[in-house]
Amino acid sequence: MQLKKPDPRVRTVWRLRLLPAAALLLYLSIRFWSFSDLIWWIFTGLWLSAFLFFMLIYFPLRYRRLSYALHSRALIVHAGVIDTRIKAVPLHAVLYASVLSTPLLRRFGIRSLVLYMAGSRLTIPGLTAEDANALREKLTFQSPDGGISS
Amino acid sequence: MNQTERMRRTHPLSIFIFLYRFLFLLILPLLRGFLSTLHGRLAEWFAGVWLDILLLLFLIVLSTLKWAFFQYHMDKCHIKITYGILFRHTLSIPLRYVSTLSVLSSIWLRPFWIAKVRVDTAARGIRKADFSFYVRQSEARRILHLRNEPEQIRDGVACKYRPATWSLVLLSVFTSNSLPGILMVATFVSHAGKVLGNELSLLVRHTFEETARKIAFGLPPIAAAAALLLFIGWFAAFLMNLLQTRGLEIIRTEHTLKISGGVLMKKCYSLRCGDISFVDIRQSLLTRMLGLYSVYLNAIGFGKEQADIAAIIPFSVKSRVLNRLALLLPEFVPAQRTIRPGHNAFLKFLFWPAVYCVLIPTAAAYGMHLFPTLANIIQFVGAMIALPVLWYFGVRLLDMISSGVSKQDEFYTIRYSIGYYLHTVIVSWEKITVIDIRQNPFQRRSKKCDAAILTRAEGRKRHILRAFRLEDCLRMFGLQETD
Repeated sequence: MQLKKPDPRVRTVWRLRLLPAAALLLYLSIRFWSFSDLIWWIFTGLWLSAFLFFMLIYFPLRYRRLSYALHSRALIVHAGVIDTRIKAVPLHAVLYASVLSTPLLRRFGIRSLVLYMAGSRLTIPGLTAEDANALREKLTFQSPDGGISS
Repeated sequence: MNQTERMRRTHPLSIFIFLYRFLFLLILPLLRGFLSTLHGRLAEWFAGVWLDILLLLFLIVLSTLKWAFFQYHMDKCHIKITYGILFRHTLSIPLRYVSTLSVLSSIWLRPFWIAKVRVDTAARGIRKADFSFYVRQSEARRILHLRNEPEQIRDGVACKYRPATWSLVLLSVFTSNSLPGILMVATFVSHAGKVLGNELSLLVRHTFEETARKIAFGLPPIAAAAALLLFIGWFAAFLMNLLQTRGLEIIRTEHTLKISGGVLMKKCYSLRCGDISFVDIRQSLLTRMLGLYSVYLNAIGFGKEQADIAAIIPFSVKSRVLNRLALLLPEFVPAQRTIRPGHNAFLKFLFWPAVYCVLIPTAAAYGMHLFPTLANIIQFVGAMIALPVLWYFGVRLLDMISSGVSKQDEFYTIRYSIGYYLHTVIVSWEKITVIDIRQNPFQRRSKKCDAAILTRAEGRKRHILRAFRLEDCLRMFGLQETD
């Protein structure tokens, strides 16, 4: 079983997604600019630290931990930043799979794969379009015993 | 459509049931009457009575149309249903997709020879049946008969179980919860007051206060009243539970499990064995100490409503429970555990319960020191809070000793605790939807993990394993790189 890494461009997508929120906070900081106000310092300091934390630590670490593999009887996804997780979805449990693409994802040529099981859902971000479609085909059309059809 | 596939209507009483659902619309004429009386405009109200009558007639016509447009046909292969007045639906469900077919006959409907039929499949929501309708009892028997199969005989013994009354009494004793009972008694007293006059309501309250005063030996009166209220609530819930399970009988056929029982509401379920999500052998701290076990089923359409039967084997000793389980559901017999929590797992199991056990008495003692005049009440409240926390500590201690996982063929036996109950769940690989293995930074260092096993049912059920070795967990579920 070989663990596969998602496309590294997904880090850029995550970072770009954070920008609108950061822009709004930046606007508030500029709008209420006051060097003498302690609250302004706390507010600006907090959001700037959070922004840098996500940009420089959280997203790289998230990418480093993210990987997936198609096992003989389950799809396995490694994820998590502080708490690490191994999620295994038995192949027979996948009811259907969908490939998700947004304008931003399309711009970078990547997709997300969403797996639907009874009562739960699992998303694998940052797959190339070919990988996502191939995985969707494999997971949707399994052999009757739950294994992957050849 | 030929004669054998003719569509049938439900019992005409369904009109009143539909009408009951629309009754909230009567709030409009009621509100109008109330406002008119308030402003002394009775003449104006009389002039508008035709509008109220029109609304009532509209509701009756609507209910009748709903009844008239709901038609069904059921045979051994499928169920056809058509319904809806403006938005007409016509559907056909193969009978093999029906997980649970139930016939419920409540004490109110029995004099009219009416029963409710409930059809449940894996589709639609958790709370409500896919379809339910009222028919004559003879028709309900015919419908249930569609799934009839001969009883199974294994080693010369019929696969049939009828628990003894004492076992049902024990089940009711241990599973009765005070809160629903209190709510039931409160509703009864309030309604009795409305129907039979305020005197009865006052008499009940007076008797309650007097009894609480009499039993308050060395206890604050408020504590005695609370204890009495809890006891009354528990007793009411106990009686209800007993009446819901009295006469329980389970029969195993080749593909189905037939479960029947109940006094106030007679219930008969036909469950497809292949649709059983898991079997849960449940114990509380007390029943573990007494060596008693009870077996519950989790299946689509089973145990959905409060009046439903949930336990198929009420409390009994281990050997008897396992014998009965092997007779009724031989696929779901628990296996000896092969993996257990790693060394030094006690922190994961006992840290927070131990913290609560220390904090609550400390906080109570501090409170008594701060407010000496309220010392009695604080002491009582502290003890009342400390008791369930200690109980919880006991459950987690037993969980630490007994939790584990094993695999036999394609069936997993998972032993764990949630809240105040210890569970031994037997689930097939086919019914597992996700295995979620989680490690916090401390666990990463010690190579341990927690795992949540999600099982397929109408809703999501999680079975939590705590502080297992990651390697053991991956090997158990066949998720290692070499598998």
